[in-house]
Amino acid sequence: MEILLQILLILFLARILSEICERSGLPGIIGEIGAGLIFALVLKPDDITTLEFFGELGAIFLLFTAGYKEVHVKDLKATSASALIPTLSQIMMAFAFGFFLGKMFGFGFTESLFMAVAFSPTSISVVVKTLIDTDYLSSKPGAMMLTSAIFDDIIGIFLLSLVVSVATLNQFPSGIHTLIILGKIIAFVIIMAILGWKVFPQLFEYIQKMHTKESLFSFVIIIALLSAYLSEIFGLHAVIGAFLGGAILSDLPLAKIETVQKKVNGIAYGFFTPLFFAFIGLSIETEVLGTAGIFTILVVVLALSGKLIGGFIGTKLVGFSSIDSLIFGIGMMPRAGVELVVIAIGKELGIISNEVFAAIVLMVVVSIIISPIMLEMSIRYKEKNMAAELTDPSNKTT
Amino acid sequence: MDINKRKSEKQSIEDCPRDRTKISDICADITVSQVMSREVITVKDTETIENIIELMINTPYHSYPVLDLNDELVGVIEQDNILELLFFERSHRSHHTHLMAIKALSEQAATLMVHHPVTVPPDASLCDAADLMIKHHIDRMCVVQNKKLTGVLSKSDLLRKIYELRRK
Repeated sequence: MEILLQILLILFLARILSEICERSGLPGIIGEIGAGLIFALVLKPDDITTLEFFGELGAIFLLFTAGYKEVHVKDLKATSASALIPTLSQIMMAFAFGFFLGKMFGFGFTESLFMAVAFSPTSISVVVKTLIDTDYLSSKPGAMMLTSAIFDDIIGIFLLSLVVSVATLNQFPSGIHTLIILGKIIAFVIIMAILGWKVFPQLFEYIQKMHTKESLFSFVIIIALLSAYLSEIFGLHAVIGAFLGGAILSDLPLAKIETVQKKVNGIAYGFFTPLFFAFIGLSIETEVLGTAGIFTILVVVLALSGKLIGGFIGTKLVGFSSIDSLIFGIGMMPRAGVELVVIAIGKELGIISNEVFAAIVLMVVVSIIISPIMLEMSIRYKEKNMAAELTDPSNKTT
Repeated sequence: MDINKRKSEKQSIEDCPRDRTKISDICADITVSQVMSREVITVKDTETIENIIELMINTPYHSYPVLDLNDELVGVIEQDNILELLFFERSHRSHHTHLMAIKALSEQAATLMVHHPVTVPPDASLCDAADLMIKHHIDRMCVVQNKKLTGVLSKSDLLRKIYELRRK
């Protein structure tokens, strides 16, 4: 099939199905993944090399915009350290569940590690709407979820950079290997920090005076691609560099002018990221879907319960009530962007199998659907208990 | 206005047509500090959202520079971003990112503000400032020297100066 027609059809399907999902109260990402799946099932394209390339660019832009729009270094400084214990607890528990599941099914070290990392991050934006609707955004667990999500993203990216580096060794890293990996990460971060601190501010002063059309926007994109390329030189994956590049530009006034931000949003959310999510759907081997068995169920159950249990324990440790801890744990369950980037990289490197890939995509979809429902149910349960306590003080729950 | 006076004005415009190049030449020799407004209404980074809204109601501006304890410029608060946060619950799901949610819960200028205002030094030429404002649809820019706010340059200031130049 002609490549132009492929891109046209997949983008059109992604937009239409995303709209249908949004109108039925579900995040558009499900529609975009569904578009890729339907495209593969109906049209059975022979050659998807170009779509694969656009999918990779989509992953780069997904993480670049996450850094560019969502990370603010000063907010990180202001974040309460009390969120660190619940955050680490839920990430570590989910990580351990993922690794344990891989080992249980006889996977190698690297594949188990990829599963563990894919289990680890959270996409809080999925449940923000529920928190707003239940008037729970400013509550104790609601505020903790938001604070935790800031750490979560950074830890997720760090884990991803570690796992990609370990994947190149394909074995448990020795002490010297670990030091080399950490050294590469630190060297890359230092170079990016110098660029962001000394070079980019000066560079953008010149760029904004350039006579060529859209020079500021072009250079924001150039820096996204440069950061992605640099990180590959350092043995890290392109998406890690893109995220860091975005985070560095996020505090640079000339790179964050409203008109430039709108253009970056347009190209990222209007073109590249829908293609990435559609490519995820397209990459699911349809034959695998028929054989989904106990492994797939365990992936879904353990990935969700890892976050729930870890979040529950972590918040109990910092003095939350049981029901608030439960609400926090449920709020940490949804997965979306970073998790899919992790498995896309794992598949691209030939580390994770089609079964694991399909199971994790299913887990992401399930988590997006059930997390808001469970969150609302738990909040209503708490409110019911509180109302009961008010009418009958002897009926007190923890 | 009588017909004779109108005719004489028309005659003078025809004798001396608008000279855009000339204005461009002159503005290159004018610095931002000569044109900017020095009387600026600012907001402290510890200011509450209630006080900021009250200030916005009682003053005619769309954006306010935010200063820290040392009177250094740390951000800008705009009507648009306050409204966006006040109506956060009604906004589309795609705006419900964790950073926006944190901002929406905040009560202080330091978290509500835009942390990356575009600034210009007082000795920059008016031409450079005008280029930046026109090219990127910026209505108001903070004029900063050594991190301290020395004034604000708005599109109205620009127009006022150009009007003066054209009248000469």
